Amino acid sequence: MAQGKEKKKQNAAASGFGKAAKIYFKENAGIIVALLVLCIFLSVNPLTSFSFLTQKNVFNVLRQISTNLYLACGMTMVIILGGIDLSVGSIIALSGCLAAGCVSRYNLPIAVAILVGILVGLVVGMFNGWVIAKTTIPPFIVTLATMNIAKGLAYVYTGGSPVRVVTKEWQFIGAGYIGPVPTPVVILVLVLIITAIIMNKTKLGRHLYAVGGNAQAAQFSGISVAKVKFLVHTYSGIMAGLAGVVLASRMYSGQPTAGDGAEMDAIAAVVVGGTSMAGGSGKIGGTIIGGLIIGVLNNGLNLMNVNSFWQYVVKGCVILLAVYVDYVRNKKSKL
Amino acid sequence: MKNALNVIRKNTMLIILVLVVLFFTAMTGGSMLQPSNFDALIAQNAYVYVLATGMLMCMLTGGNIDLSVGSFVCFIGSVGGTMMVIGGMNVGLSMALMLLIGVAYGCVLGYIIAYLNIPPWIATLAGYLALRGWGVAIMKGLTISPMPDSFVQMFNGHLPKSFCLIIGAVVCVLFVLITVKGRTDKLKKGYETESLVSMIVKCVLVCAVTMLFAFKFQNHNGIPFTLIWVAVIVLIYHFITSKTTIGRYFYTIGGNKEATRLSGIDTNKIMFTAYLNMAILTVIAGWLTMARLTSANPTAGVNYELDAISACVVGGVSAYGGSGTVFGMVVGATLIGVINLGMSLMSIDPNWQKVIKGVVLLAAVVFEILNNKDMTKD
Repeated sequence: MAQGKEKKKQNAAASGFGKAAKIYFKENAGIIVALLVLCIFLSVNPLTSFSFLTQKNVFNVLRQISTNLYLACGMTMVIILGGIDLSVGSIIALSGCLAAGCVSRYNLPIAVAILVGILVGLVVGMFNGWVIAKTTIPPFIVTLATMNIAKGLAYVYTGGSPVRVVTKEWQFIGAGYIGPVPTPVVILVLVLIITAIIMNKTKLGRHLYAVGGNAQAAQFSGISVAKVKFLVHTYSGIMAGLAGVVLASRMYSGQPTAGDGAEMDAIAAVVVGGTSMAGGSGKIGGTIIGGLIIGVLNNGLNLMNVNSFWQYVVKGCVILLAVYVDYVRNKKSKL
Repeated sequence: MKNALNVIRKNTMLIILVLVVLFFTAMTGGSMLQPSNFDALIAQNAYVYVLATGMLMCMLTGGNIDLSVGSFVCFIGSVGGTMMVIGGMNVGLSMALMLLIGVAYGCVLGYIIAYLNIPPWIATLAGYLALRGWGVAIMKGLTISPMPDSFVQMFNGHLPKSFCLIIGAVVCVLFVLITVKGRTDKLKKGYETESLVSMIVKCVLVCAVTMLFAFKFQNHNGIPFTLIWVAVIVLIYHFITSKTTIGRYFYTIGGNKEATRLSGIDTNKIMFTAYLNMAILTVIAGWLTMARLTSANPTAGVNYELDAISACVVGGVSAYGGSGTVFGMVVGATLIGVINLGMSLMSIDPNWQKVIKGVVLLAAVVFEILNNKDMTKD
């Protein structure tokens, strides 16, 4: 008996990775197929085939989606909690402007500037988390308010014009390369690993799903719901702060208009990735594919010279489609 | 004493509004109360009242919101502008077509939300993206102007000055009559009523404010048509929410959707109605915006959804649905409008204005929640 169990365990360990991969593909079959179809279409389409699969373009897409995916990492957790964080776009502006200001206005070392930017996100996120945890105010209203406040502060600090940075080293984190890989992509990989560990291997991760599924039940089973809410919103803030710094570096300047509408892109990536808006379920793996789909879609539309106005229409339709598919799937699984 | 405290508690936002008006009057050396500013207050905020009315109906059903209103205002503007300015179409016909588009959009949105059970958040988020893009694409990113005079006059015109006092007096008399009748009806049926003193105070205050506005308008250009549009819409919805069965349904759904459904009310239909209604009111807000700017432009309606939601929340509409009144919403919208106007008059940096707006929204909600906590404790 015992031996049998042992053997099973070994088998499980050996095939653990394969199994996980299988489950992953099964869970996300729909969006993976969608992504593949999209990529194949763009590589075959005569309008885009010559440029789409070039190394330059692939890295370009990855670089573009990386800031969105930082946000989406935090947003996935917030949405699993059943909430929403509308302030991320404004945090990008504020953290980017302050970080760029540190370098160009006060001549501080770049490491300090990066820290300041992330700290800005941390502070706003902590504020969001604190209010949401301590009161019954709906998250969308709290973050709506901080969205206005952070955006306003960004404009106040810059006076409405970009803070330019001429220091060469500043560009490393957003526009530079580590080996052949763009720096933001390297950061993205690290961020994804950290997020995956938090969500899957830590107590906070388990508590996150419990609170999102049923906050009251979670509270009764001894989970500090307030603490989970506080931590998750803080994490989302940190991610937004990081995105702000990377974006400011890529644009050689901190801009108060940076991050306009970024919250929508992040929500889109999360929702397309199969996280339910009702909370309680969702995986970071899905969000990655969601982010890729949004990124490739944008890139494809750009390569085909589609008017940027139409890109919004397409994005809107994709979100709606994704949620509809989620709805149909939920209905089936209930039957 | 306790009664007085209760009155204060129930009308905190109203008292804050009065304090804010006094504050800005003092800070601007009285120029806040100039006739032209009364006109500006109405003209600048007309869309907030109209959109917040629709948003109120949506929020009542359970804190559901419509994020697409700002983009839809832009879209309606682009379609209307194309028809009236570029196509030279008859104004009445184009307005009818715009309304039709509103109905169509409302039906689609309502169907998606009520019958396909897609969260309103997401459905309207998709609308937010798609309609802004589509609208701007129709305009090709350019401003369409000028709107035909007959269209603009319908909103920006004024009733002759001589009517101001008469209309003001009629409104006062009607208000007093309705209040008195309501009270006697309630007394006859044996319901609890407010005290006679508080009723008299209320009547005197409403009459005073009405006549103040009437005098100010008489000294300026007369009663603006926008005010009439807003007043009619607000009154209709005040009647619907407080006097009709369908109005009650909106509250019960917000209170408990499942219980409402089980008591035989078609909850899906009410949800559908809420969003159809929102779309129609958004068309009217679109007209008001087009007329004020005398153009349709790609940035029209940006952040309108935030203004409407803020007005409702500041006005005490629960973000979880089930409670909130049209009157509260009007107070909330006016409060935000006065703060904006006051800050502009004091020439505060618009960037700081944004910060202050956010702080006000947050403070209002925190305040409301603390206030309610105290009430339940008593």
